[in-house]
Amino acid sequence: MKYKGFVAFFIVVALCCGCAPKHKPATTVITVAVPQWYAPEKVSALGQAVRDWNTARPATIVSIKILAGKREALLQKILLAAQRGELADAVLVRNEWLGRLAADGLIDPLPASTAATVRQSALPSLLPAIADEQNVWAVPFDADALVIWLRHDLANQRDPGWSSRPWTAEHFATLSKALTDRSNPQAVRYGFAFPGARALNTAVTFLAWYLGRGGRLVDEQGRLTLDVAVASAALEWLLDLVKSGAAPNTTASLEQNDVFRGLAGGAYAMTLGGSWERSMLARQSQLGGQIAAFPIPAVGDRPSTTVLGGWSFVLLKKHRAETAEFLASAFSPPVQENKLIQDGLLPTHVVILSNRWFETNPDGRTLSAALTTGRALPLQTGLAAYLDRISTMVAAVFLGAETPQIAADRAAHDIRDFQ
Amino acid sequence: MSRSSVATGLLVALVVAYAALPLLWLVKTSLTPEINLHQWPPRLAPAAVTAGHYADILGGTRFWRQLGNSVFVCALATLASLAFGAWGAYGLARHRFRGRDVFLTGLLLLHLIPGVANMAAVYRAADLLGALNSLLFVALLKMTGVTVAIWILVAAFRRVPAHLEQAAELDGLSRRQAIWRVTLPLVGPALLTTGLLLFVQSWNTFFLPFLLLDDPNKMTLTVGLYQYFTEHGFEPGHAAAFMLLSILPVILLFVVFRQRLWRNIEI
Repeated sequence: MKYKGFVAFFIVVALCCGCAPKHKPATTVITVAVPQWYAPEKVSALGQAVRDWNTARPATIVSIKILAGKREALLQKILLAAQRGELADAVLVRNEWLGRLAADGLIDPLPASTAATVRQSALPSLLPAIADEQNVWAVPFDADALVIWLRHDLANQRDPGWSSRPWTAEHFATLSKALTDRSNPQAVRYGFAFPGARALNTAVTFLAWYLGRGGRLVDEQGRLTLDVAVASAALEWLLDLVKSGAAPNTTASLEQNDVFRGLAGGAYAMTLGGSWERSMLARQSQLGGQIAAFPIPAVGDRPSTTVLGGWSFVLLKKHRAETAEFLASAFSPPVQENKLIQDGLLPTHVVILSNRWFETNPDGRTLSAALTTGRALPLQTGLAAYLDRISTMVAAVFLGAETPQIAADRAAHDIRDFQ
Repeated sequence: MSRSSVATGLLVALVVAYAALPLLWLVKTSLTPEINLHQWPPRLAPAAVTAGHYADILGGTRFWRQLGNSVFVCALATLASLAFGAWGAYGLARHRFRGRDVFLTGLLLLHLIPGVANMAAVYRAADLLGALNSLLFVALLKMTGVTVAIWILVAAFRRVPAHLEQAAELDGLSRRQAIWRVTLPLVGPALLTTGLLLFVQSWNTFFLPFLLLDDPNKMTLTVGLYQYFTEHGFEPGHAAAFMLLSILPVILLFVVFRQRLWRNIEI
């Protein structure tokens, strides 16, 4: 037993280590779930916010959980996981989903102090999407707006005086025709393209034209509505662009990504797209420097208007107080400024609107105006069904299945019925 | 060279070109710098070449993890399907019993049910068993390949004369030893072909893992590819490189086993 002494020593040491008091402080881990395109490696401002938080608060660690899949699949996953209470402490969701999540009881309103901060500091134009009279349901993290992306090099070439004329629907239609080039039948370049396939983005882009003509989203009773005459006129105007050859006759099959690819490659001279396409254009198009953001053209004497969307954090059931604090920090001006400058994503905090970036960047003024005057889709339980019905209406018109008048009439009827 | 052989050659060349074109387009897309990818009109040859998409994928950890997950699921599903399939096929080939043909037809009919028809039930079962995000559960479900294995292997076992096993038994081998040392080596090529078929089928499965695995660290390669279809656009260069990298293991398998496969096809 020559190792007896060593064994005894080992046992004593092990016992001492095992019985030694633990000095490690208890750590709370907050899990925040975000879609894969907001992963910290893609949105550096979020990664930085998490690192800063974890350094400053070692007792309350934030861990990011990535949700994979496309947008449509994501909502289903969130609904299922949230029902089981196993998703996370907070989730980044599309603003249009908030009404449904709140109605299903899957999310609770923000605590009073966080709600007050959001009411006070969020872009006023975004508030209808995330708050009602009593409650604020989410902390807005990212905003997006629809704009016209325009090849100014081509516009200068084909219609030199284009920028001095008022930016109206009539001028826009004329410019679309002027920018269409059929000299190479194998590679026709269209003046304008917009999504017309049956998809969520189609509905939202249609609403930009509809709102610009004075269409209402909500009626006097607070229910979602579609003004038939306005919707029909907007559809007719878009259809005329296709019929005149200024927009592709494949519009009924175009989704937002197809429209973007056409713009990035040079197949389209103007498109209606999201503000997020700015950084994509810089990365994925040699024409990036020749494409600039413009407002949605005004109709008659009405001001130009656009649709505001975005992604906001909602609180689930656990660790609410600590999580709300983190969400407030992700909404704070430094993080929102980082997000704008490093990641090219629009801010949700009103203070950032006065940032110099909006003056120095070529697209800054258009984007700033969009954030100020844009209309957010309201917090309504039936919003998803409303948008779905609108995209069906648009697709039916561009497929030639229904006239604008009949399509708008039927859609308005269905929308009244399901509420 | 006769006219008919020239015509056959041309036809084969056309079919090969038709099958290879999408693959060549993938190669071209994967090597084209992101900034040139949307060029209009599209060009057959890339204006510039980059290995950046491959470097991004291979330099990260997610691809390797998802590759490991795919190998785990496919290897387990294939081996288990082959083992149970060979066992069942041997019994069906060697023993006559009432209802044998009905049983075989039933297996075939089971295989004809489209997988998507069961998905709601499969998801519910996985949820109740706490098996969401479980690679083992996905592999278990992919063992439905056992029906294909039985169908192919029954024919292979029938081609091996039973008296070979009887002779081996007369030489002093037990029944099990006779099967192991005489019959199985003779059906080896059929086992290999069936194994490869099952492996490729599992490798290409998308919907089942897409439904059951939502943790990026647990995804298989087919589902991992989805990360390039994002809210903020589609990344064609990365997606093409990822696709090509994800089919490489299967191509490698065919290269390694091609001699044996050809021999089996010739038989």
